[in-house]
Amino acid sequence: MNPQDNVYAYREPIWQRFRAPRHAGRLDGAQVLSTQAGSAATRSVLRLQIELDGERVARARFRAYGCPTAIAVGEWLAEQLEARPRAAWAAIDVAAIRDALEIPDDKAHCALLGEDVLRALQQQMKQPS
Amino acid sequence: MAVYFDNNATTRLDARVLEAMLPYLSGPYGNASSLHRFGRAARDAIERAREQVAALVNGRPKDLIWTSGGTESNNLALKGVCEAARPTRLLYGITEHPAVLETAEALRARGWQVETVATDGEGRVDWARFERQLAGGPLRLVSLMRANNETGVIQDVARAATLVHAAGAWLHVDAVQAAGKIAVDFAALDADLMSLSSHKIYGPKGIGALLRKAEVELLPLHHGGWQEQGLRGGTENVAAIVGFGAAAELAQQELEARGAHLRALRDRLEAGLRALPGTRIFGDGVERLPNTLQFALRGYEGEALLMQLDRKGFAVSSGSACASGRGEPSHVLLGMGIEREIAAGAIRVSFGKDNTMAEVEQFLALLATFAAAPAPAALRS
Amino acid sequence: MNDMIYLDYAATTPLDPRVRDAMLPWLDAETHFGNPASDHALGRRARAAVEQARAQVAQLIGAGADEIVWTSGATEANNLAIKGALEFRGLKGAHVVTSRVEHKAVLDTCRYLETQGTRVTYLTPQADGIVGVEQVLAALQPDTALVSLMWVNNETGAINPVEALAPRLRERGILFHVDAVQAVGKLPVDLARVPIDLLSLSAHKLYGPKGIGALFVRKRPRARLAPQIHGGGHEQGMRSGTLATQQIVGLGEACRIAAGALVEEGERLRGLRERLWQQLQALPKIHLNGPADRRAPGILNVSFAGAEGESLRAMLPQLMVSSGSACSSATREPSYVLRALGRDDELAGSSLRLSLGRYTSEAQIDRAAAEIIAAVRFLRELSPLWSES
Repeated sequence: MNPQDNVYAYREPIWQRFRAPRHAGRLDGAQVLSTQAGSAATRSVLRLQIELDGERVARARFRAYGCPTAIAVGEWLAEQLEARPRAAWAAIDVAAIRDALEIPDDKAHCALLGEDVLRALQQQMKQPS
Repeated sequence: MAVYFDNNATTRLDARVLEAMLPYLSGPYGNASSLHRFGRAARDAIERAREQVAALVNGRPKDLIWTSGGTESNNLALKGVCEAARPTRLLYGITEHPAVLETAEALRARGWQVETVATDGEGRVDWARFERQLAGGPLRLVSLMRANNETGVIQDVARAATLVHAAGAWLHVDAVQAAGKIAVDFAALDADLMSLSSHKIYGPKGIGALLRKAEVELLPLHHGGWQEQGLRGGTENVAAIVGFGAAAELAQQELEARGAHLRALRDRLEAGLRALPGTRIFGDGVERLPNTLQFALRGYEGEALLMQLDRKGFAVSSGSACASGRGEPSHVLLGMGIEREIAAGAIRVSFGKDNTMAEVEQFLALLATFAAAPAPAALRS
Repeated sequence: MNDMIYLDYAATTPLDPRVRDAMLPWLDAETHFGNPASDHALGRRARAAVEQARAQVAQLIGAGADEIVWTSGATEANNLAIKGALEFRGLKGAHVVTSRVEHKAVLDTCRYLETQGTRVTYLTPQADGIVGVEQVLAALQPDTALVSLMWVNNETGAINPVEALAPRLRERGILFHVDAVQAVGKLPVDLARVPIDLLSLSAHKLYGPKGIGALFVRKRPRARLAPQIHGGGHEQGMRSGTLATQQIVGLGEACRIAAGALVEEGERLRGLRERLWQQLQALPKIHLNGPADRRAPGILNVSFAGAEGESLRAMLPQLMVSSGSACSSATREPSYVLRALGRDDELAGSSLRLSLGRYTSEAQIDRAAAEIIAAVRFLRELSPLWSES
């Protein structure tokens, strides 16, 4: 990936994740939880999946339809869910996402999409399966 | 070899300005509206030029709107300010450029009460009358030029600004001829709008600017597109904008040197003219642009004299290039109360930075032959 | 940057080196800088160049030289045509017909006129993007003063039947303005034959400089306009302001060059465009925006279901393309033109406008197609909504 390719001047944390996502994909199986936020009409949909190994997240994967920022948010969330203990997820909100990815004001809605999908996931984990 | 003494009509592009423009006349430069890197490079160049032009007159870059030239700037200022409000009154100086005069008259047809601001015999605002006029009812806008294109007479627009603001109106200053020739300070003059043109300061033709304080409500002249804060739609003329920027920066850097050089040429011409019999200098004894001298030689008709000078290789004019060829005496001189016969003989010399003292001497020597010999029939009025 | 592929000719074209060479003396030479309005040798020389350019522009569109009025570009030409025509006739309360997919300069001018009491009908094109003759005729009212319709749509390339429409409007005494920015120099335009009254064109869409355009104003029968820029009475009083000689010479030369190879170049571009479209067929679920046949040769507008437009563009750094008109892309809204054609937000937002031009080669087309296909596949694979069926 050539840094020269970033001709529309996306912030580096966004650009890297958009062009080379390491957590794109889908998971199947009984231990997989899936959530989704956004809608096609708003041209932003983020789907997040995790595979649990007891309390631990073994793998996290995302799929996204949207602009490069929305895709980068998906990748970043998947990274975080694999890296952080569940107790630390609450700290992941719009402000944290925007900080980490340097998301400008006119793309703040992409960070909100990320917070929405994560909260939905947390909600699902509270429910007895 | 031709001698060009018509620099108030237009100037020759400075070689350094051309150099700055060339990259934008070739290569993969894009539409400044495009989001792509090349589009952004064009946009950066436009913003840098905006800073350069604003700096020439101590304005703020964000108050500057690009236009196609001084005429459009004047149109945008007058129509844009007036049409944003219900028709009341609009005043303009009797010696203003046709772009102001004709625009104001067009606004008359749209319900505006349009009045002229009178001047004294030397072309300066008649302050006593002006103050009475200002008190004469609701007023939206006053338009006065910083320096006159024909006589070079400099107007005390700072004084006008105080009075105009006290009357609750905005002041537009046409600084097309003044900028780059004398120091023009948008902030210090306390103007609300100011027109500028590139091709009068060794920049390219086809580009100008309007400065406008943010609090002045303005409607666009051209609708369509979001460029220039929605006030002036259309794809930006990137090369010309860059050229204007470069020309403005050079004008600022070289203002004093150019001024001293022009003044020396003008003073020599003035002294030489006074030695000829029956010379009349317009705006005599008042503060004028360092490069401009408008005069009449007794017994000579301007257009015929102009033609004679042209044949001898001297490019001068009778007044505004826009109005030339109409056979009408200058409205500027008539507005100042100069008699028609005298006004009809007017010649304007406007020097540029590249003129030389030798050229002035040649010109004076030629005029002396005209004045000494019995005038050819064609030159007699 | 040598491997850049420029496919945004409908937004702006690079300056043709021949045009640049024609302009340079007027920016440089000691004998060429006069004000065309000046009455001395320098002024006359500049004026002669301006008049030669006027004849060149007129020649390309089958007009008389005295029917060409210089403007600062198409935006000003469109403003002058529409506002000038209505103002001259004092028809503030009159009725105007235009379409929803016109350029912003026409739409914003019409919206302004509405605030002044003009009634405007905005026609929605047929599904293929074309505004039909009968559609326009059906919208006419007894006090319709003006119809303004683009010859070629800048986003879809749809060619409107302005040649068939013009005589129908003429016989009804209705002024006809055509924004021909995307047509002039690309399609044959013959105003000696087609009774259009007012026609706008722009230099920087035909390999000329930015900042210059022209309005054709018919002399017989005379289309009369109120000036929109007042001043020294240049351009028969219709448009004042010092003429920018170098710009005008550039537009003239650009027209001369375009006239020389109009048909051959059209055929070449049509061939390249079809080649691109054929290659893109490797992707399922792609939609052509615009008519299959009646389309300007250089424009291909495609929606790629499942691939969001901004991401698609970002995936294609070597391609300079536009999603929607460059004038509206700053706002990143889905194209209002495609929305008007009935595309939903998703499809409108997944479109690329690929516009080909003088320097487009077969090799560039093949590479562009390969890169687009790879990018669309990547984004579709990433999308949670995508399914091939």
